Amino acid sequence: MARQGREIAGIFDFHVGILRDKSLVEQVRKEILTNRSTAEYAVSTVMRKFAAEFSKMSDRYISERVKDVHDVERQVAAKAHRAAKV
Amino acid sequence: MPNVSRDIVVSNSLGLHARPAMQFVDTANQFKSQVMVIKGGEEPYEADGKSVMQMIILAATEGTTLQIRAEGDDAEQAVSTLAKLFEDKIRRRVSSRKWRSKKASEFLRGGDQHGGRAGRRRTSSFPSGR
Repeated sequence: MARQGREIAGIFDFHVGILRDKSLVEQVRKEILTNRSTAEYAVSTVMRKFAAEFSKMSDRYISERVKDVHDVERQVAAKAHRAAKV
Repeated sequence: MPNVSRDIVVSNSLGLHARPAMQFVDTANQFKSQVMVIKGGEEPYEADGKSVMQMIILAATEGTTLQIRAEGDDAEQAVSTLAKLFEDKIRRRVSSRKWRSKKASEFLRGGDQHGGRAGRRRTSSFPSGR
Protein backbone atom coordinates (compact mmCIF):
# COMPACT_ATOMS: atom_id res chain seq x y z
CA MET A 1 0.00 0.00 0.00
CA ALA A 2 2.67 2.47 1.05
CA ARG A 3 4.79 1.31 -1.83
CA GLN A 4 1.96 1.85 -4.26
CA GLY A 5 1.41 5.32 -2.84
CA ARG A 6 5.04 6.13 -3.35
CA GLU A 7 4.95 4.99 -6.93
CA ILE A 8 1.85 7.05 -7.69
CA ALA A 9 3.35 10.10 -6.00
CA GLY A 10 6.46 9.63 -8.11
CA ILE A 11 4.43 9.61 -11.30
CA PHE A 12 2.65 12.84 -10.40
CA ASP A 13 5.94 14.42 -9.35
CA PHE A 14 7.25 13.67 -12.79
CA HIS A 15 4.13 15.17 -14.42
CA VAL A 16 4.66 18.36 -12.45
CA GLY A 17 8.33 18.28 -13.44
CA ILE A 18 7.36 18.16 -17.12
CA LEU A 19 4.99 21.10 -16.72
CA ARG A 20 7.73 23.12 -15.03
CA ASP A 21 10.28 22.39 -17.73
CA LYS A 22 11.14 25.84 -19.02
CA SER A 23 12.99 24.64 -22.09
CA LEU A 24 9.95 22.55 -23.05
CA VAL A 25 7.65 25.55 -22.65
CA GLU A 26 10.10 27.61 -24.67
CA GLN A 27 9.97 25.09 -27.52
CA VAL A 28 6.18 25.20 -27.49
CA ARG A 29 6.28 28.98 -27.63
CA LYS A 30 8.72 28.88 -30.52
CA GLU A 31 6.53 26.40 -32.39
CA ILE A 32 3.56 28.75 -32.02
CA LEU A 33 5.50 31.82 -33.11
CA THR A 34 7.47 30.39 -36.01
CA ASN A 35 4.98 27.93 -37.46
CA ARG A 36 1.82 29.80 -36.47
CA SER A 37 0.55 26.65 -34.81
CA THR A 38 -2.39 26.65 -32.45
CA ALA A 39 -1.41 26.14 -28.82
CA GLU A 40 -2.79 22.60 -28.67
CA TYR A 41 -1.02 21.59 -31.88
CA ALA A 42 2.24 23.08 -30.62
CA VAL A 43 2.02 21.22 -27.32
CA SER A 44 1.37 17.94 -29.11
CA THR A 45 4.16 18.44 -31.63
CA VAL A 46 6.80 19.24 -29.06
CA MET A 47 5.73 16.61 -26.54
CA ARG A 48 5.54 13.89 -29.17
CA LYS A 49 9.06 14.72 -30.26
CA PHE A 50 10.22 14.03 -26.71
CA ALA A 51 8.05 10.94 -26.44
CA ALA A 52 9.73 9.60 -29.58
CA GLU A 53 13.16 10.27 -28.06
CA PHE A 54 12.14 8.47 -24.87
CA SER A 55 10.83 5.46 -26.81
CA LYS A 56 14.15 5.06 -28.59
CA MET A 57 16.02 4.58 -25.34
CA SER A 58 17.17 1.08 -24.58
CA ASP A 59 16.57 1.67 -20.89
CA ARG A 60 13.16 0.15 -20.16
CA TYR A 61 12.36 2.38 -17.23
CA ILE A 62 12.81 5.45 -19.39
CA SER A 63 10.98 4.12 -22.42
CA GLU A 64 8.06 3.50 -20.08
CA ARG A 65 8.02 7.16 -19.10
CA VAL A 66 6.60 7.76 -22.58
CA LYS A 67 3.20 7.08 -21.05
CA ASP A 68 3.69 9.97 -18.66
CA VAL A 69 4.70 12.26 -21.48
CA HIS A 70 1.57 11.26 -23.41
CA ASP A 71 -0.64 11.77 -20.36
CA VAL A 72 0.62 15.29 -19.83
CA GLU A 73 0.40 16.04 -23.54
CA ARG A 74 -3.24 14.96 -23.67
CA GLN A 75 -4.23 16.94 -20.62
CA VAL A 76 -2.48 20.13 -21.65
CA ALA A 77 -3.70 19.91 -25.24
CA ALA A 78 -7.28 19.34 -24.03
CA LYS A 79 -7.08 22.33 -21.71
CA ALA A 80 -5.70 24.52 -24.48
CA HIS A 81 -8.47 23.32 -26.76
CA ARG A 82 -11.18 24.14 -24.22
CA ALA A 83 -9.62 27.53 -23.54
CA ALA A 84 -9.60 28.30 -27.26
CA LYS A 85 -13.31 27.59 -27.57
CA VAL A 86 -14.33 29.97 -24.79
CA MET B 1 31.35 35.30 -16.70
CA PRO B 2 32.79 32.47 -14.64
CA ASN B 3 32.70 29.14 -16.42
CA VAL B 4 33.11 26.15 -14.15
CA SER B 5 32.97 22.43 -14.85
CA ARG B 6 33.45 19.23 -12.95
CA ASP B 7 33.24 15.54 -13.80
CA ILE B 8 31.11 13.25 -11.69
CA VAL B 9 30.24 9.57 -11.87
CA VAL B 10 26.62 8.47 -11.56
CA SER B 11 26.52 6.10 -8.64
CA ASN B 12 22.82 5.46 -8.16
CA SER B 13 21.96 1.90 -9.08
CA LEU B 14 19.04 3.15 -11.15
CA GLY B 15 21.01 5.79 -12.98
CA LEU B 16 19.66 9.28 -13.39
CA HIS B 17 15.97 8.39 -13.58
CA ALA B 18 12.92 10.57 -13.17
CA ARG B 19 13.24 11.37 -9.48
CA PRO B 20 16.96 11.97 -9.31
CA ALA B 21 16.68 13.93 -12.54
CA MET B 22 13.99 16.12 -11.02
CA GLN B 23 16.00 16.58 -7.88
CA PHE B 24 18.92 17.72 -10.01
CA VAL B 25 16.73 20.08 -12.05
CA ASP B 26 15.10 21.59 -8.94
CA THR B 27 18.54 22.30 -7.55
CA ALA B 28 19.92 23.67 -10.84
CA ASN B 29 16.97 26.05 -11.03
CA GLN B 30 18.02 27.69 -7.79
CA PHE B 31 21.00 29.19 -9.56
CA LYS B 32 21.13 32.00 -12.08
CA SER B 33 23.90 30.36 -14.07
CA GLN B 34 23.20 28.35 -17.15
CA VAL B 35 23.74 24.68 -16.28
CA MET B 36 24.72 22.03 -18.80
CA VAL B 37 25.26 18.34 -18.27
CA ILE B 38 27.41 16.65 -20.85
CA LYS B 39 27.73 12.97 -21.58
CA GLY B 40 30.53 11.75 -23.80
CA GLY B 41 31.06 8.26 -25.15
CA GLU B 42 29.18 6.55 -27.93
CA GLU B 43 26.01 8.59 -27.62
CA PRO B 44 27.20 12.06 -26.69
CA TYR B 45 24.50 14.40 -25.49
CA GLU B 46 24.42 17.84 -23.96
CA ALA B 47 21.44 18.43 -21.71
CA ASP B 48 20.10 21.63 -20.23
CA GLY B 49 20.53 20.94 -16.52
CA LYS B 50 17.34 22.88 -15.84
CA SER B 51 15.17 20.69 -18.10
CA VAL B 52 13.85 17.42 -16.72
CA MET B 53 13.02 16.14 -20.21
CA GLN B 54 16.55 16.66 -21.45
CA MET B 55 18.04 15.20 -18.30
CA ILE B 56 16.05 12.02 -18.83
CA ILE B 57 17.18 11.75 -22.42
CA LEU B 58 20.70 11.86 -21.06
CA ALA B 59 19.93 8.38 -19.67
CA ALA B 60 22.91 8.30 -17.41
CA THR B 61 23.13 4.80 -16.04
CA GLU B 62 25.29 3.78 -13.14
CA GLY B 63 28.97 4.28 -13.77
CA THR B 64 28.45 6.94 -16.46
CA THR B 65 30.76 9.91 -16.23
CA LEU B 66 29.01 13.22 -16.70
CA GLN B 67 30.42 16.69 -16.87
CA ILE B 68 28.47 19.36 -15.04
CA ARG B 69 29.19 22.76 -16.49
CA ALA B 70 27.86 26.11 -15.37
CA GLU B 71 28.27 29.58 -16.76
CA GLY B 72 27.27 32.66 -14.84
CA ASP B 73 27.97 34.62 -11.69
CA ASP B 74 27.11 31.77 -9.35
CA ALA B 75 28.67 29.06 -11.54
CA GLU B 76 31.16 27.94 -8.92
CA GLN B 77 28.47 27.46 -6.31
CA ALA B 78 26.12 25.80 -8.78
CA VAL B 79 28.67 23.21 -9.86
CA SER B 80 29.79 22.39 -6.34
CA THR B 81 26.20 22.07 -5.08
CA LEU B 82 25.14 19.90 -8.00
CA ALA B 83 28.24 17.71 -7.80
CA LYS B 84 27.64 17.27 -4.09
CA LEU B 85 24.13 16.08 -4.92
CA PHE B 86 25.69 13.15 -6.72
CA GLU B 87 28.03 12.42 -3.85
CA ASP B 88 25.33 12.58 -1.20
CA LYS B 89 21.81 12.11 -2.29
CA ILE B 90 21.49 10.62 -5.71
CA ARG B 91 23.45 7.67 -4.45
CA ARG B 92 20.58 6.84 -2.13
CA ARG B 93 18.00 4.35 -3.26
CA VAL B 94 15.37 6.02 -5.40
CA SER B 95 12.68 4.63 -3.18
CA SER B 96 14.24 6.34 -0.21
CA ARG B 97 11.43 7.90 1.75
CA LYS B 98 13.43 10.85 2.90
CA TRP B 99 13.99 12.51 -0.37
CA ARG B 100 10.78 11.46 -1.98
CA SER B 101 8.97 13.42 0.63
CA LYS B 102 10.80 16.67 0.36
CA LYS B 103 12.15 18.98 -2.21
CA ALA B 104 15.84 18.93 -3.04
CA SER B 105 16.12 22.52 -1.93
CA GLU B 106 15.03 21.66 1.59
CA PHE B 107 17.51 18.84 1.66
CA LEU B 108 20.35 21.07 0.65
CA ARG B 109 19.47 23.61 3.27
CA GLY B 110 19.74 20.74 5.67
CA GLY B 111 16.38 21.39 7.31
CA ASP B 112 14.27 18.71 8.94
CA GLN B 113 16.47 15.78 8.01
CA HIS B 114 14.27 13.26 9.67
CA GLY B 115 11.18 14.03 7.72
CA GLY B 116 8.67 15.03 10.37
CA ARG B 117 6.36 16.48 7.79
CA ALA B 118 7.11 13.79 5.28
CA GLY B 119 4.33 12.91 2.93
CA ARG B 120 1.71 15.21 4.28
CA ARG B 121 2.87 18.19 2.32
CA ARG B 122 2.77 16.46 -0.97
CA THR B 123 -0.96 16.57 -1.61
CA SER B 124 -0.85 20.35 -1.50
CA SER B 125 1.87 20.57 -4.10
CA PHE B 126 -0.29 19.06 -6.82
CA PRO B 127 -2.32 21.24 -9.05
CA SER B 128 -5.80 20.29 -7.94
CA GLY B 129 -7.83 21.46 -10.93
CA ARG B 130 -9.55 18.78 -12.90
